[in-house]
Amino acid sequence: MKEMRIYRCDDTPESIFTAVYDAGKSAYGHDHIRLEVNMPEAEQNYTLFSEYVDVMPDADKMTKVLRTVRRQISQQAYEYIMVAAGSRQPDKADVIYHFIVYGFALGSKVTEALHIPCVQRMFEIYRKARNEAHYFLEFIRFEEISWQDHPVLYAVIEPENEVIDMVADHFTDRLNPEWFIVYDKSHAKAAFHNPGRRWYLRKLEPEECRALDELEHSGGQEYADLWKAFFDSIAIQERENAGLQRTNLPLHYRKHMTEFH
Amino acid sequence: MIFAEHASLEEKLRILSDAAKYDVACTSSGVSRKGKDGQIGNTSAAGICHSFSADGRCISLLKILFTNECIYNCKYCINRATNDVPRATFTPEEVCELTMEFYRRNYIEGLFLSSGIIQSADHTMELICQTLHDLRTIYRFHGYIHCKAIPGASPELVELAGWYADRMSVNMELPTADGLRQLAPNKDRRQILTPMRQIQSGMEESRQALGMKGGNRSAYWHTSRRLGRSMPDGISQRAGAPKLTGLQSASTGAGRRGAVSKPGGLQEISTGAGHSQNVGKDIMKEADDLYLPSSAGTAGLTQWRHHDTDRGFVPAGQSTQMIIGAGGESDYEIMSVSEALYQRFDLKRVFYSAFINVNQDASLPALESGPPLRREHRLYQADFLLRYYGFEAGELLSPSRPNFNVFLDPKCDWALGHMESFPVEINTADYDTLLRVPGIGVKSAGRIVKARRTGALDYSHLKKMGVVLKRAVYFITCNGRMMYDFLKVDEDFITRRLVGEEKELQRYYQQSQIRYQQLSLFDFAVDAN
Ligand code: SF4
Repeated sequence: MKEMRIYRCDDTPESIFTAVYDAGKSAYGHDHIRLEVNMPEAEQNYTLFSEYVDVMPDADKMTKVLRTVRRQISQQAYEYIMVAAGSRQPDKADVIYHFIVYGFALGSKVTEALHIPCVQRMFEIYRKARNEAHYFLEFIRFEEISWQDHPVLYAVIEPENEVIDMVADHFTDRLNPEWFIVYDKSHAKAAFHNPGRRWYLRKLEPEECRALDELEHSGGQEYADLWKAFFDSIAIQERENAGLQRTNLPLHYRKHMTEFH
Repeated sequence: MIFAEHASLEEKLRILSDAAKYDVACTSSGVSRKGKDGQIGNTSAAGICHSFSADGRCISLLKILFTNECIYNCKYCINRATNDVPRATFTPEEVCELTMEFYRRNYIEGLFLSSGIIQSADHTMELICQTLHDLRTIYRFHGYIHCKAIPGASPELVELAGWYADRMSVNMELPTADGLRQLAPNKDRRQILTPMRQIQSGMEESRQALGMKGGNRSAYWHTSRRLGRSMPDGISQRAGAPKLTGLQSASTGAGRRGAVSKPGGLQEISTGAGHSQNVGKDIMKEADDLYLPSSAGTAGLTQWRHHDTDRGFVPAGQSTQMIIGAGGESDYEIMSVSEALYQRFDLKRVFYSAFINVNQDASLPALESGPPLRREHRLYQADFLLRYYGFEAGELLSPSRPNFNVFLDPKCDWALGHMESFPVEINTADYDTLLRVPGIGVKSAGRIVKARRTGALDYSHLKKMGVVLKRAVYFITCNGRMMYDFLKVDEDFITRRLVGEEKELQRYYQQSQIRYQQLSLFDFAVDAN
């Protein structure tokens, strides 16, 4: 029996798509190739009778893969693999690879071929990550703080997946005349927005994170209190239903929400 | 009477949100609008929820009354004139400030402004218009606004509000004209339907002159178009009485024609709907009452020149609400009225609100076991079937069977009465036929139709596509095969199975004290698949 070949990469888009490129170029046979991402969620069980290849990230290879996906499969497929690459799913690299392989065979129809297991899995990963991003559009809470003498809207999130792009895009359109900061505590990043401009992203140093941590709850409480008053009185007692509330608004999202403080 | 005139803003907010909470419509959907330079806000077509209150319902909008003072005396209403409750009234500035400050912090998607009737209908409507005007032009708010049209307010004011609002609603309150007369003695059907018709034709006029402005058509409209039925829109309504009668007689027949002509074995639907022609006279009268002379409320838009036409007129459409279980009406009456509203008034949504006897009024049902939530849930399911699945009220219920089955959801119930139409082959049945299979919803039917283009589907695929197999298995084949060969598919057997499934649920509710746990799904969560 032919040996499995396992491409090992790091948890960055560059490394993942380089692995996809190398694996695809190898002509080793898709059925005998697996991609593994080095991440805490992944189980590192070393398999005997497998050949391991460690991938050297290469920006050019990534660009080539992404360009080909857009040209030969579809924009939708491109979005799927990008969202998947930013997700926390340990099998993501392998799913991306096999999804792309099918994509080259089926063209743009691949995103609808839900009876193929790796397409199904891709769809699941995508949906999960998108759902999380959408949750933050709903549940993110800003407070008005003072930052370098400006009134700035400030929010903290702790997402599992990479959602900050979608969140910052959303509020850039919505809060056009405002200054705002969205601080992604789990990925040590923050999005900054100046009135009427595009937002920009910053990777944060540990001391910057600490500084941002301290800003939480530093704003005025007046509207927070009014909001809590509204939140309490709008519920209908006769219909009280904590279970339904929890289904709709899972507990771990409540951590930074004004009304649950 | 207690006046909270010098109440703090927080006290007012408590009183006026508490008084607004029985209005169930809280969606921010129906219009997609980008942000604008120097303004705050945009809107999303699907709407965005921002929190969930202790009753599990979505909070999307700042839902408040402008005032809870009221000169009327509707029996079911906590704010009726004769009640001794704390009263408060906002100022337009207060409403604007709250809306803006909540919106900036992402607490809400916009404002839902309703009101008790203070002094007169016109005076109240003026205050609402003033608030909306300030919010749009002084505070430069570009997000979502839903406002009420007060029954009896003059058409000029109703139009004015429509230029600022995204969605408007006039509540039906009670499903039947009789119920309304008894429980809301100061209101009559005409006062409700006239502004509804005015808004409908205003919207149509605006669409023709300005385009959709990011607004979308109702699900009912899309479903009607897909099935080749007559479309609910303003134009066919305004063409005068003869056409209206034509449309009405078609309303019981059109859908059946559509369904009968479908390949794929749904031929027998007509037997179910047939009932309505024989015995339905009295009950159909309720739906028939929903006609207005063609002259009412159709004067057209008159204020083009005074307004920023950037948003269009009521771009997110209109909705209404009916209280369920306060009068003696049947589910069949309620669904017939809803259907008529979708068809003739082009409504986006009809909301159902389980009656709660807040006033302990002796002339109203006592409802020992709490509000009729289960019934409300069935109505939402059936409403879904009308809007997305192409069912007609007359297919689901009939005068001889006027209420929904407590144990089975309306779609299973229908399917069991039409076993001759099943099983349906997953790999060949058309979209509308798939939609009628219990356990297959709008999304899963769409996925099936797409996925099977790239290869034949089997049972193992269906589950991943969101099909609820334990319901669907009795009604489908995959590549000619039923899931269990040994299964003797007859109505009794399946009924026992399906009812069994729901009985489990019921037992659970009784044990856990939290009654109706999964039944009070709202708006977003209701799917009748
Ligand atoms: S008009 Fe009737 S329903 Fe509306 S606030 Fe007054 S009493 Fe209540």
